[in-house]
Amino acid sequence: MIARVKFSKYGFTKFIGHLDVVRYFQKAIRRSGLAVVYSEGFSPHQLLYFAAPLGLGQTSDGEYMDVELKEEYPLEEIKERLSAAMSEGFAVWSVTRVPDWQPGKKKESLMSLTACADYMVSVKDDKVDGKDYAGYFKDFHEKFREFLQRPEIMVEKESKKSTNTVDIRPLIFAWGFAPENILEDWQEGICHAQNYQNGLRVFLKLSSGSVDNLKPELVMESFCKSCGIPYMESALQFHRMELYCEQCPAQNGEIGDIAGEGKLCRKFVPFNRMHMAGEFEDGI
Amino acid sequence: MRELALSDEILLRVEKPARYIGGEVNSVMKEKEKVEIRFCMCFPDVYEVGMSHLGIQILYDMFNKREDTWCERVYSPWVDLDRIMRENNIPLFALESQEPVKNFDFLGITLQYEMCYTNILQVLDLSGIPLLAKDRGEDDPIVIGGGPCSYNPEPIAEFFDFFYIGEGETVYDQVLDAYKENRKNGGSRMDYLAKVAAIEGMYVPAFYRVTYHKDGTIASFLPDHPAAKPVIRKQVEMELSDTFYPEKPVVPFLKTVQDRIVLEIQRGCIRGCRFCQAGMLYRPIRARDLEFLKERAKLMIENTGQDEITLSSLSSSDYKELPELVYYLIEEMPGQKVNISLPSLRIDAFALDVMGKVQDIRKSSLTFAPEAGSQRMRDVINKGLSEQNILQGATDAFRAGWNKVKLYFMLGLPGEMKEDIAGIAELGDKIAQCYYGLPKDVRSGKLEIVISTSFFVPKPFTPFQWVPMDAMEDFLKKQRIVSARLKELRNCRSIRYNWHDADTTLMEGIFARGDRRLAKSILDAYRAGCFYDAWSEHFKFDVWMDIFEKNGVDIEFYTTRKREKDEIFPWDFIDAGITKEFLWREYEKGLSGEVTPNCRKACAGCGANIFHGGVCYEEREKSLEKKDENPAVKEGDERQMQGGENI
Repeated sequence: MIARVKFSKYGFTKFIGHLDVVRYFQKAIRRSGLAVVYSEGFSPHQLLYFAAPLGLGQTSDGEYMDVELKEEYPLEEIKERLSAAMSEGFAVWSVTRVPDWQPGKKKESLMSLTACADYMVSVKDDKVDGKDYAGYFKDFHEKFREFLQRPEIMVEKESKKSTNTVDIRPLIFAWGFAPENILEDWQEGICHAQNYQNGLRVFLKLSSGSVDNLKPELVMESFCKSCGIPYMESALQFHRMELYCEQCPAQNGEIGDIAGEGKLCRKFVPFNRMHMAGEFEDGI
Repeated sequence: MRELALSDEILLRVEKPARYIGGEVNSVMKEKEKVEIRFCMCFPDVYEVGMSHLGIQILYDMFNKREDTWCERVYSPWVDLDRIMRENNIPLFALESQEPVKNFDFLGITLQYEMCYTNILQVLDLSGIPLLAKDRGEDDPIVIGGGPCSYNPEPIAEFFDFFYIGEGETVYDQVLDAYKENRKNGGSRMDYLAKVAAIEGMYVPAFYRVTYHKDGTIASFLPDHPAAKPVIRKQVEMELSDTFYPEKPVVPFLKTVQDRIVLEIQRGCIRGCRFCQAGMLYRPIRARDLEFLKERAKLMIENTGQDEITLSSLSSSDYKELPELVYYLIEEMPGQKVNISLPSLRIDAFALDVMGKVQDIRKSSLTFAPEAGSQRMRDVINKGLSEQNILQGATDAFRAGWNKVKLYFMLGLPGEMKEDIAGIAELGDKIAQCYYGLPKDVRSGKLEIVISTSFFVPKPFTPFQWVPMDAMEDFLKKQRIVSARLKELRNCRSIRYNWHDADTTLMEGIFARGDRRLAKSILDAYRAGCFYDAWSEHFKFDVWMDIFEKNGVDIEFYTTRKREKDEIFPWDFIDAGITKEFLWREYEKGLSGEVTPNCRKACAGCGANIFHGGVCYEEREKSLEKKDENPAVKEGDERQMQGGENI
């Protein structure tokens, strides 16, 4: 069976890079005793598949990993055993079932299906050059609204080959100063994001994935530039809240609607609700 | 959630911030209000090197089993963070609590190689602890040294409050209990050190006075404190199957040098190679029970989720139940996909079978450590290997599908002649001939032989402790002989030649047999910006040479000088079990090329039987075993750690 694990990465573990997170889960799965499928050959590795890597320094309540298991387990048991193998800074949110991969057909990997991501960006209480960084964010709401009301936001995006100027505004699907602005079923109590005293934060629903990927850092950098705030990536806390794939028109299920000010009608669904059309067990 | 000592801004600016955050699986958190002793264990090198060390894992587990003690870890901050900490006056902190090391009761530093000496000063300095023990006050942690280099602690003696000589499992409880008692009685730091000096195996340098002859050799080395003993006997744990061994080793987030479980199957070695300090220091050989090892292996795999286990010892083939242990690991845990690595294994049918099962033959290489190029020289160093054994082992391996061979040698061994040196290249060629002598359909792939030479550094407590080390020019000349001879040989295209750096060797040579008078130079070098000397990109040889010159240090005195039989060595105050008479006897036998049989065949009377156990009290073998005639095989990465080389 293929289990889809949604997990959080928070607190000091934000300083652990993506490859080390993969290694962490390989070991955690071995500690859990779940019978996982290994690749063939002399250096067998577990068949684990992760969604878009999280940047160093960022926290998340919306990380995903697919794991291929040799045996059938109740989803509740997988969740319990994995949770028992977690250490501080990692938590398992949910385990859902994904249909088995069809031999000969291209695997629907989390990485390739990622289409959209939600972020919470907070201003830290840290000092920068001896003064509170939050002090730069006077009239933040007003300024940010103004920034996003522009018809286009041109930024320089660096690729391996060249630097292009692109308009990132269409890649910002939704935004707001409250989580409800981007996330329908927001529950305050279970968010692992750090709270800062200054209370300055913004929520962004951004295009994500192999095409049209927009990092929240780029949005914030562009915003800071637009209103003369010195951009300090380490003084902002980026927290990923959810990852989505694009809803197939043919598939029914719960759909995450987007408040796109009437312009946009793309439908996204969180990865743990991707296969909830009744054919498979519910997630927990 | 744990608070970190460093700000996000700093952690995002440095390379690999996960080095400094702690919180690894199986790391131990305690409530500091509920413990009486805070112990910080340090490996003075970068995290990935330090976390690969078994000794600290054993002591970490042992200390944390005490309810009254919380043991934490600290490693050398890498150069990037070092700079930031100095600029911002950030004190060095322990990984678990993230609290300053300065607030601890103890700082225990393991001394694995000479090239880490300046990093000891880095750790003390960043912690805000005075570098010299005599300058420390009542509030400073007690700084303890231990590990292989504490068998000649003299060059760094002034930086330590005391050294624990020998194996940590035995008397640390006494050391900690004495601390609690001293504090209860309102005793001072000096009162405590006097108590420590009375515990067997503890060396408090401040309690000894050294005088010198005009020629610079030691005239006397005597205690000048009533509690100090004239001779310190090393500590040995004789019950290795009934002692501390971690069941839950810490699992690092980062990929470390030894990213695997380490199962120490035995301590000590029966072989008696005359250059090898470990083989002499850890006598007598003591094996752990098979059942103990099986149980620990299983527990450690379950508790860490590691996918590789290394069976550690100085000579794995001398562990009598090795096949049972290895086949257990292969057969009992098939679903777990546990990879087994077997360093220091002698090549025989068993070894080839096991290695064929646990690794990809096409990718892995066989490593032989003949150490010397000629039979005459191998007899001098008592490396019990014949050329025929090596060639037979290689041929068997080639037949079994291997095509990569690594060979390790030393240059500068006592009595070495041109033929012995040329023999290194020739042995490589002969191994190649074995390969090309096989029918084409038996050979697999392209033959790759790598010859590596390091320079011999005479070490304390070995029969060669009297031997003059080669000068740098001699080393380089010898290297050229190997290179030149290789070029003349038929199969030179299949052989690559690597050599070790002569500058580092010189430094190791100075410190290995150094004395107290070197401390000033270490201090000065550190103040002049030397640290991470074990890392070639940070090693500042010229600065060191300058400082030695300014301080009037005669390098030849420590390295190339011939020592007399009755010279008092700086480490003579340590009783490591083996006697000086035995070492001298072995030295003389070595020079005449006479071989000494291993401990299982005959007792050589080294003196280690004073510890009442191990091989000294086993029944000796009546006949020569076949096994002994096979060449040694080592896996590559093990050796790097021994030499203190980099990742």
